[in-house]
Order: sequence, then structure tokens, then C-alpha cells
Amino acid sequence: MRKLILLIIIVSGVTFSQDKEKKDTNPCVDPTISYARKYGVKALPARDLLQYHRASKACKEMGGDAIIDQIQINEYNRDFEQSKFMSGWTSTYGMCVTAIIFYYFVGLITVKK
Amino acid sequence: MKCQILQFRSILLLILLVPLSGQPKVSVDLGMGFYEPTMKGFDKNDLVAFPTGNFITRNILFNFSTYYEFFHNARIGYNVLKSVDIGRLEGFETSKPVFYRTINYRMFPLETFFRLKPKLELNFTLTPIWGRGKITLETKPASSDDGEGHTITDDWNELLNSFGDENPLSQVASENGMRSDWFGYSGMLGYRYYFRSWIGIDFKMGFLNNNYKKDRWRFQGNKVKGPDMNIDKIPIFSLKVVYALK
Repeated sequence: MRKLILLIIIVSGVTFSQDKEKKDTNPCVDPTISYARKYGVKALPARDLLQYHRASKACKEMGGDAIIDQIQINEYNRDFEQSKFMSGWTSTYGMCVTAIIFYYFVGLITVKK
Repeated sequence: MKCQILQFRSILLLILLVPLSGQPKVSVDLGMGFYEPTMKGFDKNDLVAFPTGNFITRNILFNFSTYYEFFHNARIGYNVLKSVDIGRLEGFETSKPVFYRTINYRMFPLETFFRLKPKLELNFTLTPIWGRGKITLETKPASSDDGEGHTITDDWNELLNSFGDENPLSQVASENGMRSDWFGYSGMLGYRYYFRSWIGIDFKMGFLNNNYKKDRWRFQGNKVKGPDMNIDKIPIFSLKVVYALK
């Protein structure tokens, strides 16, 4: 009897265990893709990049081109929104560099003449 | 060698497979620089016939750089521009040593930028330069110190004399390179276009200002004279491909 109970426990443990194989098979709902859609690819931790790359490739193969393309477009637009104007010290720095180069080339032409 | 090939393959895989969408936070750039230095010490040397200078050895710089975008309008990085010359020296008494010359312009740029359009960028770079020149002579075994006739020391003395160094060396050890370090700065204006989400092309123009002195070369602990070169206040252009790593 004791053996039978033990056998039932082992068999039921195997039979009713969570089936990892039955997880979502749609690669487009991969957490890395969802994260990239929300926050952008650059926000993904480095360790998830390979998984994202794999999932996006699989998603494209499953017909999810639009999702991946949208992530890319969003990424471009996000970068553009962030850096279409120079903020803080960067504009001063840019002006200084331009002035130095302008001064240098004017000097070059003047000296040669 | 096998290990190096594996390493190279891993790096290549990283560059080719991992690139992802969006303008990069971390990027690796490969390209070329173009400039026009005056190398009198090599081209107008009366005593030694250096390899004839051509466009590749005089005007081309091989460029490798890596950048990290620490702010959405700025990035820092490390940039190397390398000029290489190699050939056999003529005019030596008996030997014809192989001459190898490199000039590295190592830069630590701070670059700010803004995007004109989502795929177009204008950037401004200012960078200190840590330059290094290196000259190596590979002499023939027949002209080694234990043979008769011309020795390694004689070869080096002949080379240094041609640069105007009057003090002959008494003994040259096996290590056979002379080098010089200097500091400078550079400013560049650049234009970048991302023609794919993970790859772009970057064109820059600006100037190089190097504080190079021909008297500041070192050879086996001794101060020696090096070649006369004018690498100060020269315009420079660079064209490179930008790979997005992340």
C-alpha cells in the first residue's frame, strides 16, 4: 500500500507538473519585444539583446514585420525627439568647435595668400 | 594563431550579428582619414633613399574608433588614425635593411551632435591627441654584429646621421625601434547619415595640430634626432562606417 501511494505521488507529480513546452509560441509576444515597444531597444539590458534579436527574427518570420519595423521607426523618432535640439552645454561646445575650425581655416587661407 | 582566429571570429560575429535598431549608444567605427603632411626627413633625405612616398603611405590614415553616447546630445570615445610605411632602404653601404614606420594619432574625442532629420546628424568634435611615431629597422642577418663588415649599429648610425644626428651610437641591442611621443589637439565638424537602422556613414573635416619635435625621439634609452616632419596645423578629412553595437 505504501509503495502504491508513493507511486501515485511520483506519477501524479510528473503528470500534473507545469508543462514548460506549452508556453506561448508566438515570438511577437516575447517580453523583450514588448519591452522594446514600450521603452525602445536601447533601454534593453545588454544580456537581453541576443534574445531580442532572436525573437524579432522569429517574429518577422511569423509575419510580424510591422511590429519590428514599428519598433525601429519608434527608435528613430525617439532619438530624433531627444536630440533634434542641442541642450545644455552641448550647444556652447558645438559653437566653440565651429569657431575654432572657422578660425583655423581662415588662418590657413590668409597665411597662404 | 587558432585562438586569434577564434577571437577575431567572435568580434566579427559581435559586429555583424548583434547590431540592433536605432542610432547607437555604443558604436564601433571603421574608416579612413586623408591628410597631407610634409615629410622632409624621408622624402628629401640626401643620405638614405627611403621608400618612395605614395598616396597610401603619405596621405591615407587607417581609422578605428569606438564611441559611447553618455547623453542624448553627446558621446565620448577613443579614436586611432594610423599612417604606415614599409619598404627596403637603399643607399646603405652593404646591407639593405627593411624599414617600417608608423605614426599613430590617438584621440580621446568629446563629440556633441544634433539630428537634422531622424537619420541625419551634424556633429562637433574636439579632442586631445597623443601621437606616437615609431621607426623600426630589420637588418639582414649578414650585417649582424658578429659578422664582418656592416653591423646593426652601423645601420642605425647611418639612419640617425641622415636625420642630422651627429652622435654615433656605440652599441645597439637587439630591440630595434626608435619612437617619439607628442601631444596635440584636433577639431572636426562631421555629418552622419544612417542608411540602415544599424549602420551609418560619417564624414568629418577639420584640422590636426601636433606638437611634434624632431629632437624628441628615443632609442634604447638615448635621446636621438628623428625625421623632419611637418604634421602641425594640417587639414584632415575622414570617412568611416559606423556600426551600432547597441
